[in-house]
Amino acid sequence: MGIEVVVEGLTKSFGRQQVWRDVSLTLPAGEVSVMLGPSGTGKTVFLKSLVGLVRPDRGRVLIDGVDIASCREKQLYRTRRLMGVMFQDGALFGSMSLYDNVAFPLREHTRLGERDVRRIVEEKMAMVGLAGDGPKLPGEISGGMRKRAGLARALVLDPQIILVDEPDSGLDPVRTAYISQLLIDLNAQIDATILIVTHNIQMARTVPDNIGMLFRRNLVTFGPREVLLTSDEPAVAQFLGGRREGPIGMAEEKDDATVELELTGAGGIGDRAGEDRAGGDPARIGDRPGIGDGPGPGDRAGIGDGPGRGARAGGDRAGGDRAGIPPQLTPTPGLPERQAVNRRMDRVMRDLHLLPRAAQAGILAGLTDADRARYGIYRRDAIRAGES
Amino acid sequence: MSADTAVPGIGALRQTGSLFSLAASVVAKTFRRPFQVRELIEQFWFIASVTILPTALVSVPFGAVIALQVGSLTRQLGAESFTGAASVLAVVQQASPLITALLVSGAAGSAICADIGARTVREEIDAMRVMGVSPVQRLIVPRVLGAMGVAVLLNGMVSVVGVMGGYYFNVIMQGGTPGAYLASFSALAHLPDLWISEIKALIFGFIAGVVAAHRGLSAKGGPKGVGDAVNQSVVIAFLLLFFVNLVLTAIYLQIVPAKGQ
Ligand SMILES: Nc1ncnc2c1ncn2[C@@H]1O[C@H](COP(=O)(O)OP(=O)(O)O)[C@@H](O)[C@H]1O
Ligand SMILES: [Mg+2]
Repeated sequence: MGIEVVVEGLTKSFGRQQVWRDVSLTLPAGEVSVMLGPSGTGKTVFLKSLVGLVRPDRGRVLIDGVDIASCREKQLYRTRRLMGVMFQDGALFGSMSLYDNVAFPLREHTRLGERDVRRIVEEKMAMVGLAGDGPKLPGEISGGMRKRAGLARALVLDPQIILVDEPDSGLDPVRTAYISQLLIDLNAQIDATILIVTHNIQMARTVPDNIGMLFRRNLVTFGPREVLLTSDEPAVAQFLGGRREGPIGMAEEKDDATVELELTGAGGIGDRAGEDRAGGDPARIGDRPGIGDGPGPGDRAGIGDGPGRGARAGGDRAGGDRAGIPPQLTPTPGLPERQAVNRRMDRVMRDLHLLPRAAQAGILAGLTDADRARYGIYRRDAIRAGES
Repeated sequence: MSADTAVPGIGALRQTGSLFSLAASVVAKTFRRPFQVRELIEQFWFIASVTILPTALVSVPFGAVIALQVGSLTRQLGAESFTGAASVLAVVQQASPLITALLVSGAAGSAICADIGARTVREEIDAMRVMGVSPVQRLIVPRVLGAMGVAVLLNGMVSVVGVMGGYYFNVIMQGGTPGAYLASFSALAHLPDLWISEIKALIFGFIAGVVAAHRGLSAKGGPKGVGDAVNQSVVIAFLLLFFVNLVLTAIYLQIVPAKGQ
């Protein structure tokens, strides 16, 4: 089974620029997690600090009992052998063919003969759809192929922790879907702990067991997927909806004044899923005509931008609408079940009372009959009534 | 990297510190297994191939200049019989190691720095670290050893070519006598002069290699960053080489008595 990664109070600055502060989370062993965040919020820096390439100013990263942030070089190198990392640009060795790139970790760390090396390398390259591309040089292939070769290289030593930096950027939607499926299949096969750093919403919705989001130098949330997918946090909701209105701007962040105006103007995005779910506060909207460029929630339902929050705010309660929480990808038929699914469900059900209401509702709505029997939940309606 | 701006000069101090720690770790990792024999041979060959021709081309006129200058000086002083020895000493002890060092750091160092710098900005170095392979052991040690080896060889070559050039200009152009030229060798020069020359070359090769690797490893920000790194690498290596040469020469003249005294 994969290894748990515990991050405690991590803070990092470059000169005067603070990237993020006080990030604490646990990547549960053997589960798939996604770290979301707009570009430039330090996702890559976070990933690099998990492997000791970036030394944080404060905080700890515990892997297998070793604090990556402060351990000695020798231990660092030993711990890294448990990990496979795919870099944002693939980071292939430009002077070696794809085959030699993928074979590199095997040749460095094992005493396998050339025949075994070839078998493993070809298997991994076929896995990422690069069968037959072995002799090519990294300079001769597209960015997406480099990325997939980087993934093959990260997988070749059967790592227990797999870290993937933006597997989707530079890939077309179809290839992205294949990569998503590949990551889930991998998790089913080797039960590794996987962290995917991305800003791809589709991937975030369907792949992970847990999601976190970095924004404004902070970890906004990290937890079971249902929590973030049903979150009312303005930044989260804006990001998932891919909208302009909200705290995230074109530059790294909008300045605080703009955001404040927008928040009040839009009738309080935060309030929306709360009790007043009608049309915001007409008086407030009337007070500030044209300031908030976001239409009020009432309008939004009319515009009908898909499963937006206008629809969801009431919907969750109304009739078990699960628009906010799409079903998770399952392994390709024929592969073993993902053991992480049950482990995670046990954990989530144990801590259910600690989660926000919307998340609770989403989780309960998503239970199968077998799950309900397993956790002793017999009367769905009673639970539902108790919730709201 | 925080507080870089707080105290002026602290950035330079930190760079110096990391240069020395890289030098120390190159020395330590030279003895760590597995030794990268193939990479060493490749690098040795590469460095030799980019330096031999320019070195040979530079050393002939350099030997000639020294021979002419020393020749006319000794004539002014009335010590023509020592012309040969004086120019040989100048070539072997000073000119040859420095020519070697300048070419190793200029031609080989810039190539090493550009190579390592490109790998750094493409994150190849990070990837290597993450795969549990030390880039210092895997890439830097073979390059530094290669630079040292080539420096020693080149130094021998420059000495020979320089001395022959000196002989040619002295005896043939300035009309000196071959016998006196050769005889003065044994009067003033002795074997330690050659040793110090080779030791200097070895140390200069080490410095050129480490400085190039250090700048390459700290390259950042794309191709422009690599260009800057190469530039810095050559300038820093030159400064260091001339300074170290001064120190080594002073020490040598102190501890090894000159012949004939
Ligand atoms: N080595 C570095 N030195 C200085 N600043 C850096 C360095 N690496 C990253 N940064 C800064 O940290 C911030 C976060 O970068 P990054 O992690 O690449 O963002 P993301 O991956 O989320 O798009 C950026 O503003 C970037 O300029
Ligand atoms: Mg990034």
